Amino acid sequence: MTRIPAQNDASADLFAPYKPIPDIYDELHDGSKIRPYWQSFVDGMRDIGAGEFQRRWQQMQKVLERTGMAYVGAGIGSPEQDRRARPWELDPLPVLLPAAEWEQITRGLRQRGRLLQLVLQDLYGPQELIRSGILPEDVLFRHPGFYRCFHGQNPPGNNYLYFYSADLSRSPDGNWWVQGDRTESPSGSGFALENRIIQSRLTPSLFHKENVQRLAGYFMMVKEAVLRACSRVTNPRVVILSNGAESPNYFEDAYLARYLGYTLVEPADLAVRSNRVMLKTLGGLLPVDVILRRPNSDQCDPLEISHSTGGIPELLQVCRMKNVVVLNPLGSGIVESPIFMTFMPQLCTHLLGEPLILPGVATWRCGDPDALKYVVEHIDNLVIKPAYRRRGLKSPIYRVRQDGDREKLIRMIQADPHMYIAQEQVVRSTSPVYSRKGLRPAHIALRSFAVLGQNEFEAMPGGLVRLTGELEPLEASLQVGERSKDAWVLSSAPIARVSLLKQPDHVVELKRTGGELPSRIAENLYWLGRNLERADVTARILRTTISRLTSEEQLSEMPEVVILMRTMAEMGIIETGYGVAEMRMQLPPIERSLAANIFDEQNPMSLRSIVTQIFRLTSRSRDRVSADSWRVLHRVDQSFKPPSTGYWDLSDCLALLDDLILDLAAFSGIISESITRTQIYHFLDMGRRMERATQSSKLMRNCLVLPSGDLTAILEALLEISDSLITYRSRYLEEMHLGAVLDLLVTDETNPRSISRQLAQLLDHVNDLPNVANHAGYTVEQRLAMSLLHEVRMFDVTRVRAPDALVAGESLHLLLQEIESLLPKLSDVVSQRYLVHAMPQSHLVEIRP
Amino acid sequence: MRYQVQHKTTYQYSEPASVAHNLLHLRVPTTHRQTVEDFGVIVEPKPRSVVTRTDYFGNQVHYFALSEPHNGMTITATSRVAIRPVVPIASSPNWEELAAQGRNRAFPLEVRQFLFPSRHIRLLPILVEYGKAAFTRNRPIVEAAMELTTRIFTDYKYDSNATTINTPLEDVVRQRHGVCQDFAHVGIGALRALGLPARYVSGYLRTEPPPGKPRLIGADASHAWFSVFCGNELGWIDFDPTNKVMVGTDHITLANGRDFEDVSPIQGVVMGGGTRTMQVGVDVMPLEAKPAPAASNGTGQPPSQAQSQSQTPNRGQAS
Repeated sequence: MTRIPAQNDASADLFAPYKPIPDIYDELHDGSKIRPYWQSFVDGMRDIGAGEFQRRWQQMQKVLERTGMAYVGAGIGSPEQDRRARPWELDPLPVLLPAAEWEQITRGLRQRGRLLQLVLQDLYGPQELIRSGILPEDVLFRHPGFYRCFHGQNPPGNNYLYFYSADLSRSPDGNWWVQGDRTESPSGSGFALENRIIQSRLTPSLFHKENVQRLAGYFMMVKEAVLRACSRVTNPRVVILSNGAESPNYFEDAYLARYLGYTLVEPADLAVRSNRVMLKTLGGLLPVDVILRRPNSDQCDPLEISHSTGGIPELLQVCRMKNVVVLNPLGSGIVESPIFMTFMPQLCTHLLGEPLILPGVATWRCGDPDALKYVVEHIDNLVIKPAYRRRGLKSPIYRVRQDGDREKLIRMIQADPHMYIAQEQVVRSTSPVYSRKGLRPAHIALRSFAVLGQNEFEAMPGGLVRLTGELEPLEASLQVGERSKDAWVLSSAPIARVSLLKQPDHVVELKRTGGELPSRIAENLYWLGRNLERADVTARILRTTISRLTSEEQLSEMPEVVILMRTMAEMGIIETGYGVAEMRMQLPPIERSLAANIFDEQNPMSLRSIVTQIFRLTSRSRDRVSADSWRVLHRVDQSFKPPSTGYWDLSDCLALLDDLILDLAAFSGIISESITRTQIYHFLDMGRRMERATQSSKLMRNCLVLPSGDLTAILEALLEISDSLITYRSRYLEEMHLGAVLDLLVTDETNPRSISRQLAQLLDHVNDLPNVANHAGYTVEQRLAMSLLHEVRMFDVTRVRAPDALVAGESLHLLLQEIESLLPKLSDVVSQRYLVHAMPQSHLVEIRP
Repeated sequence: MRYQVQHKTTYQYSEPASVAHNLLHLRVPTTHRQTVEDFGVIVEPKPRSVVTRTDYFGNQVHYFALSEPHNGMTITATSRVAIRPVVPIASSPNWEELAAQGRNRAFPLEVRQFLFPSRHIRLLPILVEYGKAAFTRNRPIVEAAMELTTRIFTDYKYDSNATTINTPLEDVVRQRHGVCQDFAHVGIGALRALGLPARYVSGYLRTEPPPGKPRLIGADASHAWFSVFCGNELGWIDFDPTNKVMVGTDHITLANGRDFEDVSPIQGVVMGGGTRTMQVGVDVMPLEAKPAPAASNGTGQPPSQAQSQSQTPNRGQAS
């Protein structure tokens, strides 16, 4: 009797049909069989089954997409349409590395880190390597990244290197090679961590069975390294200095900031005052002790590097005075230029008295005549690269692809040989990549990470595996659309748990304030609040209008439609022409053009533009909003799109608007409920109240201007837009009465949609602003908010009569005018006092002799 | 020769600036050819502190910040300095030998660093050609450098409107006009392209008033020239291509660097301030009568004065 397989074997066992590429090292398969250390993983996968694995992976991808957990921004310089953030693509099969092999890599990374540290200490110190000729002087003096002002900084422990990365590749003989050292500000450790979290959730049983070494320990060492670097301060304020929301590393920086518990800042959030670096917060300036640096060294201090812009003037001088620690210290990036790879073997022998454990790919310096001769002779088998690299810029790679290239390439090198190096190419190893159709081999590169520990560099057990179609070294920062994998370093023994949480007996100082909120974040949240409300009211007007347009009645029987169109035109939601009767005749009928108006990305006031703005503002505050609220918002951004058929049906729009209004309500709800009632909440909610009061006033003014005929229809539309129709009916049944409507929408403080309610809440927020408590008497913003609320409270709705309610000079008209003039003033005062810290900075006129 | 030098820079803003960070290269150093007797720098409004340090090239720099709102600032540096008379140079090594010594690392590293291109001085092939015209075979370095100085003076037109600090050297060389900073860059570029260490010198120049006119306070300007390393024995020797002279007792050295960016007298970053205007006044006042002109330009001729240059009437020699 034969065994009956549970499922079709071919689909159940992913790994059986896998075939590596001949003559290339494959991580999984040695050409005849699966490598022994993979066997247990492969068995485990077979137990899960291909079908189940596929199901889990699909589910996980949905989760990933919704949470936006792993997101990567586009690179600087990429086309505008690619600038939006995109999902970071993970391949669901990790690369396995046996413990012994990893131990060797770790020893190699430690040694290289130590060596580069010594080289940096020398170049920024006595320069003995150059004086003695171990390093040719032109390597340093032609280096465009060798800024003389970084020399002699003497950072803590004289260490110029705290975070070190190496890009590793495995050649066909199975040996690992360093393709590039990264010392400026290596990125990717946050992505490695994200990949690990996703991967371990996908195959938790395998993860535990295989005794995979944990990454948390590495991040603990990062925190310890930070503390050691500023040992003078007991409770240092640590910030991660990012390049801003537009930069490719922003999401990773935000993720690391949350994970490590540091404040995420941008250069404009920091300033030097009295020889200290200060963080500009709502509560004032707070001293910063440690800056984990992302921008390149030459973008950090425009005072010292006068051709640079941005950055923090005088930062370097504060570093020299040891009043702040920047990690990596400024200037650390010079040794990541490939020209240094030429000298690594000699430097290792000279400085450490031992050979390199982890060698780099063979590199020739074209500035050396002998090397240049070799390069010219062997140019077909080499790649040519600029000798000096600037992190973040994609450096070109030249090689002979066809016969005609050869002479051109040689001429290019000979024109300025000092500026080029040549390298051997490594044919990278492959590892299986998953797809629904099965596994296929893809080339991999491993970015490893190391941090300066107590005595030596400590490597992360694992790293970021990047999948590449190309064989070239991965040059610029992690690219959009690039796929990655988790790297599992196996252990023979079970793994002890490590957590970033402190020991239970650690006493925590309780805090209730949010005074440390960077002003920029408060500004983002304020505008997020305003845009949320703007989107809500816009969607509601559109919905009310469309529900009329799609009803059975004739347009001529619905006088409110014309008024609503005029209102929307006035508010900029649709083309302004629709607000004027004569022009309306020239335009396509509103039923046909409304959808196009909604999704008009050229119009900043269109609903789609407002939604995009909300998404952008939330992205910029990623480290402040919860994963749930992000998930809702991501859904809105993805689903609020014109129908792909290109056919505009108003009823489709109505469904989209219904969803949008619900999602926005959910987003507002989650964001309000998940934020503590500290400054961060005040600014978000202040934005919402400000916008809701403004929009309500505008809406009323536009709807009630010389209304023609029966008021009933327009009052009903107004109540519907203001989400107060049900309340009204419960009070007054079907009868529409202007005074009663105005009471509900303007003066009734129990109605969460009324203007007076918004103003009352605004006053509460203003009273809670940081500066108010120290101020004798009332502040300007308090006076403005009180005056607004007072005006509305004193307003007598019973005196307003149709049809001249909004005739100029009448009480309602005067009130709305007052509201619309005072609210912007209040907004300006609050922005200027709390939000606008970042004035443009510029260089003084240069003096020309 | 002793001088009192006052270098006063005034900035005025159209709107108040909240913060200004500044870095100054205004400290006149004591060198082999000059001794500083007194120095002081005064900033208005008064900063909380002024910090000094020595930069990579050995210049002393000052840092200060104004962190209260201000509508402008005035920086006044005053020095009293004695310049040693120039010792005539009887003979100098041949330039090719020096270039070979540079290649063979016979000079200290502090000198060799000036062999390389810098941000504003690319070693253009056209500069090699230009240099070769003066640097003929086996020529003594001082003689050749003086000819280069003379050639720049003759070939280039002084025009303070033709270039800005951002004009690349390529354009200066192509169009053959500019100011002293550009002429210094041309000379440095040619020397480095020939394999000779050359550096940029910022400083001051004593100027004579037009005949019959009194000396005007503040009429002078800061100046720049180049310096070439003439071997371990002779050291650095300075040439002023704007005035076709070897640097003598009329020149006061302020700072050394690879090009102007290393020694910019005032570097500053201001927050706010709207549009800004700047005024610079330099006043080089002799403290004793000027001795008879020495053979300071290696040619036996007295230094030519600005007034005699047709293309730079009145006060072209400084700047």
